[in-house]
Amino acid sequence: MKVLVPIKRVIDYNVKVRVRSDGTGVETANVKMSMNPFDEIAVEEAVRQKEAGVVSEIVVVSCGTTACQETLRTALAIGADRAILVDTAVELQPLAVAKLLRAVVDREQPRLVILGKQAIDDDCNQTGQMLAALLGWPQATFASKLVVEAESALVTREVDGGLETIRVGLPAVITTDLRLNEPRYVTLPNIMKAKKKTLDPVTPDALGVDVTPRLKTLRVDEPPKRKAGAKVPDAQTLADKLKNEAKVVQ
Amino acid sequence: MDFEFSEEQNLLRDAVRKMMDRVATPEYVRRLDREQAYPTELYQAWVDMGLIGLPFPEAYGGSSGSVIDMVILAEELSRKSADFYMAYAGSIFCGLNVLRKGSEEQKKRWLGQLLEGKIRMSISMSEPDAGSDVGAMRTTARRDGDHWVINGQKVWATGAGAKDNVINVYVKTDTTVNYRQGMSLFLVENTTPGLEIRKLEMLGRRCVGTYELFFNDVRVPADQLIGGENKGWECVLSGLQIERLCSAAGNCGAAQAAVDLALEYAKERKQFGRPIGTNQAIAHMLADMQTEVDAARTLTWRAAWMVASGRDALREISMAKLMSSETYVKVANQGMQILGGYGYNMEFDMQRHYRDARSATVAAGSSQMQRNVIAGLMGLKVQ
Ligand SMILES: Cc1cc2nc3c(=O)[nH]c(=O)nc-3n(C[C@H](O)[C@H](O)[C@H](O)COP(=O)(O)OP(=O)(O)OC[C@H]3O[C@@H](n4cnc5c(N)ncnc54)[C@H](O)[C@@H]3O)c2cc1C
Repeated sequence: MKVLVPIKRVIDYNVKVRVRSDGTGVETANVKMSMNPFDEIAVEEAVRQKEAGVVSEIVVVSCGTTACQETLRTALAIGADRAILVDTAVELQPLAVAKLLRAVVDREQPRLVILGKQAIDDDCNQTGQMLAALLGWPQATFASKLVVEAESALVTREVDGGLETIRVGLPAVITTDLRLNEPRYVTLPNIMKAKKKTLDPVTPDALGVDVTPRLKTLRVDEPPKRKAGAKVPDAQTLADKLKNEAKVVQ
Repeated sequence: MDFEFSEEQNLLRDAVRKMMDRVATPEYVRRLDREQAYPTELYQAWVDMGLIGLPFPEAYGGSSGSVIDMVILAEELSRKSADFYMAYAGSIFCGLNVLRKGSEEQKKRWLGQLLEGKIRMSISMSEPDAGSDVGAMRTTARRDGDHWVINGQKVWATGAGAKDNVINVYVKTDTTVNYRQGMSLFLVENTTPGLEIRKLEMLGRRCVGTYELFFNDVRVPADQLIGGENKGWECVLSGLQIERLCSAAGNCGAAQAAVDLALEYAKERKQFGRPIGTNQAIAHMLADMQTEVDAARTLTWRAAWMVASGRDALREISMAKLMSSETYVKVANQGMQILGGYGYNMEFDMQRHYRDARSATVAAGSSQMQRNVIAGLMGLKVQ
């Protein structure tokens, strides 16, 4: 079974993000970039399925500038078999990415697409759902457990109030939640092996997709500064304050 | 001019940093320092990740990494603890000696176990009366059938007492000639009968530990002599450049960690209603600290690049070792000042840097010895 794992290059989660002074976005110059953590979980899951003998080939794809090659290499080092870079400098929005991915799915014919549930930069949480709709495939989002069988997949989902287990027919789109797995460290021999794996570039034009942005960002602002907290001398004062000032307890 | 790392090198750095963040957490580093305990779990993570194999050829299970790769690794590992890095350095540099000077049989036997994490390695050269002056060593080995018998005393042996450690010990096998012609290298398992090992009470680097060794008729099979009889000095020389280079890189990583700590503190700590880092006196101190760390790193990278491109870099490596070790001591000292009373407290990390740093200008060739080398290469006859 072939699996497609789309991955996004985002600002590393350890970086303190700063808004550009002109309010057009966040500062990305000289900022450390990494694979979106949810996507790393998706790659890890695909590799585990391959190790379990369920999956035979893992193709990773990233849409963006040539810098995304580095992120793709990381995925190859974790254990993906080959990579595709949809090379474009255009700012990509979820719908454009979903369309690009549909075109890649048409070419590659995977039985399963595993994506992160959202990217930690724009937090859209849309691409997987849009892709499923465009393909007319079933979707199972926020997966915390995945059992893949020949014709279907059993997916445990994290929903408000608990866990829900659903069965989806294949082919299907699955998006990962944080607790699906803990990604491994990339080993040195695998970094070296990743060098030799193929990474094919393709353009949106070649895929026949118009990626022109449909949404316009008006302005990006810093979140409001948190006010300084207050120290209380004892638990009694705290309880009083919670009751009478904050009014969060009765 | 090109200061760019390759895609794989960036990947290596990222992967190592990630693993170190996960395993060598601040709590882990503090606890082990407090308990003076060996970083067993971390060493295992290095093995699992294939890091012990970095510089070794694929035929022995390694990854054929370059000098630059090794320098990247030294910097990343030392960022968490210069002490822990010594466990890595010991295994790698001793293993490389076996690779360069061992017979095919010896390489198969020792490197396999080393890369699988079944054994570790450490170096032991210094003696009570032979520090900078290696030639003054008195420990000897004499041939007895198919064994060698070692007698004498060694000191300051980092990591010698660790579990499953094989000590790479340099001793005299011919006392009638200059040590350069009369020294040999033996691999001695630290459980060998007749060998007594004692952990020493030291100011810093307390986890991997510093040991003294007493050899009383320690019998070592002849096939554990590496590089041939009286060829020990050639073994030392063959590894000296890369060892000092990586030691310089390690100092840079540790020094950067000390600067990062001080910087973070200066931004957070408020006195007189504003962060102490807004005082020019503190801000300039931090600017100088970072500048010096960058200067040391640049010297280190230049030396690494020279070695990688096959040039002799004794002068540059000595400069990098000198500058980086002095810088680590200096920034740790200034870091203590910036952290005020908290720096002096054992629950904060700056005091560990202050203690660990202090050995950097002594071990792996003291600053004075580096200056002797540099001055010598400048045509000065230093007495
Ligand atoms: C934490 C730590 C770990 C170590 N680990 C190991 C190890 O794993 N294996 C090992 O074999 N050794 C190890 N050593 C020993 C280290 O290599 C020696 O300490 C070092 O070579 C200096 O020797 P010494 O301590 O006898 O000092 P000395 O050589 O007695 O020097 C004392 C002082 O005199 C100066 N000096 C000496 N000669 C000259 C000269 N010709 N010109 C100018 N100044 C001079 C020195 O720079 C120093 O400041 C370790 C040391 C430390 C502190």
